[in-house]
Amino acid sequence: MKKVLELKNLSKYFSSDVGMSSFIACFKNKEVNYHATNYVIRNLSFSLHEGELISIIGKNGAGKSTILKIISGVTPESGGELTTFGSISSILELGVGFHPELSGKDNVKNLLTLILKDDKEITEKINQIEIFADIGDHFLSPYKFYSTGMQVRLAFSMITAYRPNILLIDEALSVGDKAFQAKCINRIKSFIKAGTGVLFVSHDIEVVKKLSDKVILIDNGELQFFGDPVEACLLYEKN
Amino acid sequence: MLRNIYQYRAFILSTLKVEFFSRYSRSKLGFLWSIINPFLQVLIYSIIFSAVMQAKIINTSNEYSYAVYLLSGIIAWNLFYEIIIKLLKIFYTYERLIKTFNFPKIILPIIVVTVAIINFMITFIPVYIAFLLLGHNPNEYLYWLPILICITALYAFSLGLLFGVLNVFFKDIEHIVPILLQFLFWLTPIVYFIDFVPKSVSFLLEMNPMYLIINSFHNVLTFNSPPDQNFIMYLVFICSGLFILALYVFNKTQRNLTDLL
Repeated sequence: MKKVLELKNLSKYFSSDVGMSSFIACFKNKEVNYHATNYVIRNLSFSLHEGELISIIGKNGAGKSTILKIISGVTPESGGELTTFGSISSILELGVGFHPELSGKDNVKNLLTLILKDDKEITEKINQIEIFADIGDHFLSPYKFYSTGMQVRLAFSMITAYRPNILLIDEALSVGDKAFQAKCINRIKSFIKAGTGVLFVSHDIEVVKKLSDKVILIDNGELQFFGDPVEACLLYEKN
Repeated sequence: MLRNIYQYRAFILSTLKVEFFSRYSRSKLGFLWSIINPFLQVLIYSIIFSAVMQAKIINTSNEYSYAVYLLSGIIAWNLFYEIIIKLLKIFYTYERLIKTFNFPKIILPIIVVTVAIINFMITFIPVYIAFLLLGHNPNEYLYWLPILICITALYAFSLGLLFGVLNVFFKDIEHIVPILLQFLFWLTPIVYFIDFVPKSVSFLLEMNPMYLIINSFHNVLTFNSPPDQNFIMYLVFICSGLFILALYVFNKTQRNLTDLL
């Protein structure tokens, strides 16, 4: 199996500097003193292969979301190496930057231009997204009137409108109802079959056990366990 | 930067549409507001200056020339003002997008500047019609206008981008800049003439790039004459310098912006 993603000793810290000192720090090239700062992720190494789903579990604030954000390129890593192969799609936050005044359709149309470059493809995808999201006439009403469930439906449908090489999902499924959740899982499974590598962050242990090939348990930004899902979940529940 | 613009042109175009739609969709008069706005401003300043303060600013040769003078300056100022104010909060306006998609952030200020320039052009048409109705047709040096728009946009883009970046590190900037802009507005001869300023202070005004910009707009639109070549050279020099500085600061800081938002 080909690797789609590799992390080597990846670290992320949030500098405790604020204001002036954090501004000045941007212009300095020297290595930052790692011990003096606040870690979110520390020396994390693992790799993801084609057709593999790895779940990341851990307490709130353990660094799960930050890992996905670094991989997606939204926030930079502070140290270590990150190598990705192929396209990345990610659902990092429920809102995914939708504009409140615009309809779901116009929002999707706008943001798809960030992902796809071909106009014809975009029009085609919009129809598919409408069908998959299955939110009826709300697809044409302003986004600000959407319920949380509808927001997730739209976001998930848009992000998974085409198959990426790497898919990152952060907690997105827990908000939707059972029927939509099942639909999403089916789509994820079909992606995996076609060769997508998936990183999945969730607190829903049952779903994690059912879907994962491997599970990463992290605590305080450090890898506690990496391997068999059942074992990882047991370890997590024990703490 | 140019490669980013080209690569993300579909998103830039699409967001331009969104910006115009969201700006006007919920008000009854829609985009008419961007036309009404400068005329109302002119009305207010005319009333205050000629009626309340009884200032003798109406030129004898054409009783409407003060209105023409005001309009020429105010549309230029509004272009500058809109860009600065929008760029000041740009990274907060698009915070969600920045935190969920990985794309070059520089395209956000470019969208803002484009919207402002289009807005300027939308406003300029009725302003020009008003000029004609007032018996004033400043068409002789009108070819300078695109150049002046570019200079103003470049100046505002550079300052605005600097303020926008700084605002992420020092949130006070957001409150300071609007006050500074008020000062700048009154330090620039827009509602008054430079001749009213005592000679001992007027040289200070001439160091203000905004004066040079407004003065050039006045020359072209009000006085039917070309802008001062020295002013233009000085402006191009200042703006290029600021532009390079702004891009440098932006490039150095952009990696860290997301974490601070």
